[in-house]
Amino acid sequence: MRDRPTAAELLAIARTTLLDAIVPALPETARYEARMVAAAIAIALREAAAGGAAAEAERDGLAALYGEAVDASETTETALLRLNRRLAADIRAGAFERDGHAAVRVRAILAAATAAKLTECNPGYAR
Amino acid sequence: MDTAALAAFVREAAAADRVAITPGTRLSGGAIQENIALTVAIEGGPQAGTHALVLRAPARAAVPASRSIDQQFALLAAAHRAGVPVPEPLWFSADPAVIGRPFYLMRRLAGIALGTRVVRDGPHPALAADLATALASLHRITPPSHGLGFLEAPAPSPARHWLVRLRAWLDALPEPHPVIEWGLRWLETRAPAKAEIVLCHHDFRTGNYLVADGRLAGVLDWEFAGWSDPHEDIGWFTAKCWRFGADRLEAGGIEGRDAFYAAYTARSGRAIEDARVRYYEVMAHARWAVIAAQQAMRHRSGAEPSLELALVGRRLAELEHEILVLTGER
Repeated sequence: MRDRPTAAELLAIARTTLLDAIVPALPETARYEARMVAAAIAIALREAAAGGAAAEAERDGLAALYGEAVDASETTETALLRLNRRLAADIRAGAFERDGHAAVRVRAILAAATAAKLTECNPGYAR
Repeated sequence: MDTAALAAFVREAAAADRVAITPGTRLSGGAIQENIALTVAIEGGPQAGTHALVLRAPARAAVPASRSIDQQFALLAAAHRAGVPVPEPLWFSADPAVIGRPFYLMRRLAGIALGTRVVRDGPHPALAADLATALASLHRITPPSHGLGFLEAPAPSPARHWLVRLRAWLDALPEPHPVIEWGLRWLETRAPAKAEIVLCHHDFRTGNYLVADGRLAGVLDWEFAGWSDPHEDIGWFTAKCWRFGADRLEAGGIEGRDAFYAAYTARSGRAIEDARVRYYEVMAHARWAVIAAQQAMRHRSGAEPSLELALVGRRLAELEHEILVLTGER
């Protein structure tokens, strides 16, 4: 068993220290870089906290769209790359445009995947 | 840098007796190009005096569609001749013996460019009017134009020309991007068949011009310029991704959309088709998303390890969100 604090707790306090103790002492030119370091840590933390649920939901949605059963021997990441390649090619070819229902399903899958990414990368970005 | 060789080049180019060069700092905004501040003291000849200049040379990894340094110099010169406020281009050198790469020298303008600073405390109507005037002057340049023979014609139309290029760039990336594909397909089915063709800057946006005392000092970064539909430059300028958080001021985060349109129309005599600007705002988000993925690859490939480039890769989420929002209503 690993000792506490956890990886996430370590990253969180590292980020707080960077922003509260280090950034104010830096010259203006280096502050920009330091804030980018803090931003990178924040994304990594949110991603770790969110886990793999969104990726699995995206995989399930794409598998259902293409009438596939989920193959347990294929990692989620591999399945997502394969299915999204097919989806990207189909969108480019206009494959969903004759069937309004399919177009709505595709949009819903894209919107959910994008919303999950946005929550991790830039949670303050809202319209 | 070998300032002696550079001084010899300037002495010849400026028909001077003596030239002394003091290199200064590397200027920001040089992810693709390198910009180095120089102080150049010239004795004798028509340019005698002390000049604040910038040396611009290609940096390491090139980006697709970035024009070569000699072409950038020609574009900057064309814009300058047309009355667009730009850093005045002075001399170009293709000789590798001078600094090891081709480069050009231009005047250094004072001002701030940083988008978050420029949009602060808006609206900025005088600045917006200056930008509308600059864009109208640029858009008066039409093909064929002397010295710009290297610019390709956007066939069969500017919009379709972009769609072909953006899809080729997507195909060169390792991962699929279905949301960007969604946006490009939307653009394909609505592509305007015909367009007026003028010289477009292709990166005319807040963050790419210098502001001094609240007025436009100069438009920067001409490396993507080419023939296109004038609405494309306007849509790039008004796209949400270039408002730096000042979202209510839809023209670059500095002025309302209608006021900017009116200023541009007053100075260009060209009526703006709002629907076409909105079309090009979708294109803007799609293009910036593809470029962001390319920028991230420069980091990921090991060609240019950079936290800034790495983080740009994670801006795809907001750009793709905008693509879905903008394509969802029609």
